[in-house]
Amino acid sequence: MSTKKHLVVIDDHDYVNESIEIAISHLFSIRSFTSVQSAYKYLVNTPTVHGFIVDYHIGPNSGLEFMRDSVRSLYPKVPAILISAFYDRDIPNVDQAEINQQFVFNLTKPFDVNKLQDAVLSIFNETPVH
Amino acid sequence: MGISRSQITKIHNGYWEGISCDVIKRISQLFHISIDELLDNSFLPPTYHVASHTHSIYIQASDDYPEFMLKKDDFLYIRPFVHEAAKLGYLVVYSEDNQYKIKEYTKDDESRLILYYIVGISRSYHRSVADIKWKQHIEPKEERRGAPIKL
Repeated sequence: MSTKKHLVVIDDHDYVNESIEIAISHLFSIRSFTSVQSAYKYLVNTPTVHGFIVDYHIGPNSGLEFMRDSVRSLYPKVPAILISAFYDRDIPNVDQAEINQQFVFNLTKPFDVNKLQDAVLSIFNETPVH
Repeated sequence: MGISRSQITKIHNGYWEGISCDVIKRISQLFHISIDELLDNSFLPPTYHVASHTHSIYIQASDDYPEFMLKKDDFLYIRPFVHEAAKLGYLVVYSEDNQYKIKEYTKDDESRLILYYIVGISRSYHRSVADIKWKQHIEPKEERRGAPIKL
């Protein structure tokens, strides 16, 4: 059985998901999704997830709303990283405190693959494998 | 954007001769690069702006690659690579000794594990065109009086 921690990646762009997989699949077991619907179906049937990497805009959906309304009822304390092109701007109608509550770190696109590796190692390695 | 395709080709190939002062001024305005920097040949035009590629992920060049006109720490915007004949001649990224290295994809590389191909190159960090448009959208427009200054 693999001892790698299991991460779920959700971005509506296939190539971003694949790029993240290439960059960190030697460190973690990765499952990626391009829609919140398919991710949610997977999550309700999956007992253990150690971390999330979530895009802010996932097609018509918001990664923040998905984390708050769907994921947190299943995984209340699992750390999550937000990736977005717009996060460091003043996004209208978005509560900054809520973003800070749902996500422990943010990566602004375009982001460096090496920074991604450093971030996932420092954030997700802190939680023990169950 | 006011620059012809043949001029872009010249710039891509590193030839500045025959490029008019207006074009150089326009590039300087578009990319926020001083004309001095442009003229000392150290500036690499960010290719994705010209090609309007969507990009999200980059690596920085680990070394100088004079054969590809790349310098150490240049920003290389990447996509996952799939072996196919159409990608012959592309610049690709592979991993060796825990370092990302760059080469031109050839037929001999079919057995090599290539991680990414490069869709855009710039010498400094650039945000996507979509992001710049978003910034313009959310920032309040300044009221300007008088006739606009022609550039």
